Amino acid sequence: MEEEDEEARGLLANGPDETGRDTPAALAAPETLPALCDPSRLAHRLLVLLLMCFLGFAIFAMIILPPFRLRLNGWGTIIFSCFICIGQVVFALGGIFNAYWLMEFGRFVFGIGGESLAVAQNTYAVSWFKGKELNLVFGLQLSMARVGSTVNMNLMGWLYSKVEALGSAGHTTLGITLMIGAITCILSLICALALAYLDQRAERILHKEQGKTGEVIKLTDVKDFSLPLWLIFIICVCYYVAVFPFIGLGKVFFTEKFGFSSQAAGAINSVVYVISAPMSPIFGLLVDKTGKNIIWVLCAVVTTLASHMLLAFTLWNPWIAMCLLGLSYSLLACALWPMVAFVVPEHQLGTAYGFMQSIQNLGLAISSIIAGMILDTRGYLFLEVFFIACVSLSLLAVVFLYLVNRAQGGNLNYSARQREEIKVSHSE
Amino acid sequence: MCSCEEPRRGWGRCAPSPMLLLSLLLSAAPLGLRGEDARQVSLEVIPDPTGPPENLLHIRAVGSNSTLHYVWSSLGPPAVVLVATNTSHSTLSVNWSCLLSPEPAGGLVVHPEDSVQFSSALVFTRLFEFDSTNTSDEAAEPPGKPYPPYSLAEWSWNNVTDSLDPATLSTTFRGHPIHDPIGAFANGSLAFRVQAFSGSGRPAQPPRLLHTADTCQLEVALVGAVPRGNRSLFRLEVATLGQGPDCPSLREHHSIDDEYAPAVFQLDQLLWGSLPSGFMQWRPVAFSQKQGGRESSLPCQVSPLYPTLAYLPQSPIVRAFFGSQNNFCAFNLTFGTSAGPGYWDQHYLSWSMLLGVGFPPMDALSPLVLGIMAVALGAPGLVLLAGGLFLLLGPKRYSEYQPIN
Repeated sequence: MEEEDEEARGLLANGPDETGRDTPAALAAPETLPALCDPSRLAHRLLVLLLMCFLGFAIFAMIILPPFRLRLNGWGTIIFSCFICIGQVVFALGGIFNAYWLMEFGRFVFGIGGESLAVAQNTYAVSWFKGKELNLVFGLQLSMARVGSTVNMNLMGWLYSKVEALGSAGHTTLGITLMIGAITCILSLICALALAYLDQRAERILHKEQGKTGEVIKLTDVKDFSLPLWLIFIICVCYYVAVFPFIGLGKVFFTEKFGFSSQAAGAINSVVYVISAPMSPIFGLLVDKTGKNIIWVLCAVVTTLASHMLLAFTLWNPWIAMCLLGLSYSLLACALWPMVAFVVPEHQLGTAYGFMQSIQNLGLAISSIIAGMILDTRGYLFLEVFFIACVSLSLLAVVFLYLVNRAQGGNLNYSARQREEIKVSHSE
Repeated sequence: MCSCEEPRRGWGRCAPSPMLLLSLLLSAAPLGLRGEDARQVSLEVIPDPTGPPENLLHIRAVGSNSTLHYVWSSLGPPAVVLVATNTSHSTLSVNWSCLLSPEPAGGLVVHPEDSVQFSSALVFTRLFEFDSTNTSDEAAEPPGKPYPPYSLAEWSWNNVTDSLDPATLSTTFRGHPIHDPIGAFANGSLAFRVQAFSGSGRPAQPPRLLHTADTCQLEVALVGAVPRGNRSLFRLEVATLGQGPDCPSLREHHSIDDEYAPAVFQLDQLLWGSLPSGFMQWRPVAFSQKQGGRESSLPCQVSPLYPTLAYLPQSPIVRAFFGSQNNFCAFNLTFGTSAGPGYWDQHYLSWSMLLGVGFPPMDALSPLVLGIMAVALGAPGLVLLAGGLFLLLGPKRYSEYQPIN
């Protein structure tokens, strides 16, 4: 624990002009680098943050599939970026040649890389920003992912119609549109290359030790996961199960129950993503400044519960409930994902994030099927009750997590001031 | 729990179930309209002693101090006369020679005549067909290219005695046009399945309308008829007698509950007067497959009521009971839209309605939903309470002070 804090501090500590203390890491640098190029400086971290975000943009711009775990290091990330580029190109080729099996194969390849890249993104974020702006970083990553989704939803349709206007058959148009979309995957690959270079450079400059930043995933690490971590997993799965399948099935709900037109129903359905794009960084900053992650997660889960209850049991304008859902979804992402970094040692971080992504996707897959079955047999009210039950499970897990954290004296709910004090006391 | 009456897409809150209001109204209602929990139901096909058999079905639902008479007939257009009396001893008398004459007034009488609390009638007059192939606007009127309508007065019907089922208290009127030049109904028919109930319940068949002992259910099914257009929409025209000079009122109930009819949040009612009174109730949905379900559901649009002129086909039994009344009002039920599932999928269309007297039955949240909600909201609260108490009062496990060395 001590040496990890040491190296984390070394990587993330401010330069001498910000705290008035010299860090041994900075003294070891052969020359003073400009702020943008110095890995120990905030400006450089922001550049890396930008690259990480665009890494995620491309993933979500092309929508992701279930994961396949491999060794993560700089090379691993580049390989996964290549996977998504190749996958997207094959997907587009399937469209051009009108071969559905080729499209499916392309999506499969894309999926191998896509989800693993998400894990890599999370691990990079913790590696660079733990103890500092981690919540803001997760917020921004989510934000960029949602921007990617929104861009996809709005742009691809328009792009398709433009390509169609140039005069080509249906499947060729689709293929060409997807090929143009593959450009964003190239962007992701460039970002992965840049990130790998910067990460290696930071290791070299700051003498970061190898193998301690969660680069290797070992499935046997799973047995070492603590109770708070399992509770975090449960919160994650039960929460997202009540958000994504609902958005998937929401359009007809708004059309039938509230009498919205098709376009209005589509707009209100996407408001969750539209809100989370700007609000995630703000909430991230908020959670960074105040700490107390568990309380924020509790707020987010309770708000989502309220939102689903409004949608299920009242005929109030659904914009209220959907805006609440968007806000709580952003808040949860900013407060929940960084908690993993607080309870897991750094060498297990990749495994932890990978596992979290994995079971989240499994939960989403299963619950999508269940949601469809419930809808066909029992209708929307029962479906909403099902989602409320899932959020309630998540709430139960949050409550347990709070109690366990209090009982064990854990650090999940520390305020930012308390975390600063811990860091200061460790450095003495 | 929650059934809401409000203007469409309003901001209004959901009102709690008006149980108090209901009980007050019930105590002030006339005896025949107060509603009974269970009734003795008998189905009787009244034969015509002279001439060819005509369908005249009399359903008599006897309660402790009221009787409901439903007289269904396919003499002329399919029609039903609904009579509610405040005695359990009322009877129907039929004068066939009067009924079959050009002036049928007085052919149907309920005795004793002064016990009649409510009476009205429904006549299914015409079946329209529209080709909606080139119609993109769903709210267009007419919903497509109109074909000449089928007048249900000139149809030939099966003998209902054959399809009478005493176990389910149901029977079916099945008919096809007498003159069918293009042979659209060569292998098809329009069926009216009438079912009476002796108590409350809910059928398994969608749309699973909740019924009581004061109601009977009608299911209209168009099966096998060859449509004249590529994407044919059908419309059923229904005429009714208003109470007094005004037409009956149409109400659309928006509720939160779609448990029994998935994705249908609306319940439509036709009320002949202020409650309790006669009513007609249905879900604005029709099904294009026999087993029904969300994927085969068609929206059913109802037009506002309009006073009719005399050009509508007349029903002899309505004239027999009510005399020559002129305050008929008519409305249309249009099934389906140009997009989505439709009659063209399997040449099948079915729609159900309830006809009754008293207060229309309203859906309530099922116990399963209430149970899940109770657990979902209660469990986290209880755990927090229990855990909080344990932390406050239990042994201290961890001190915030770190050891000096």
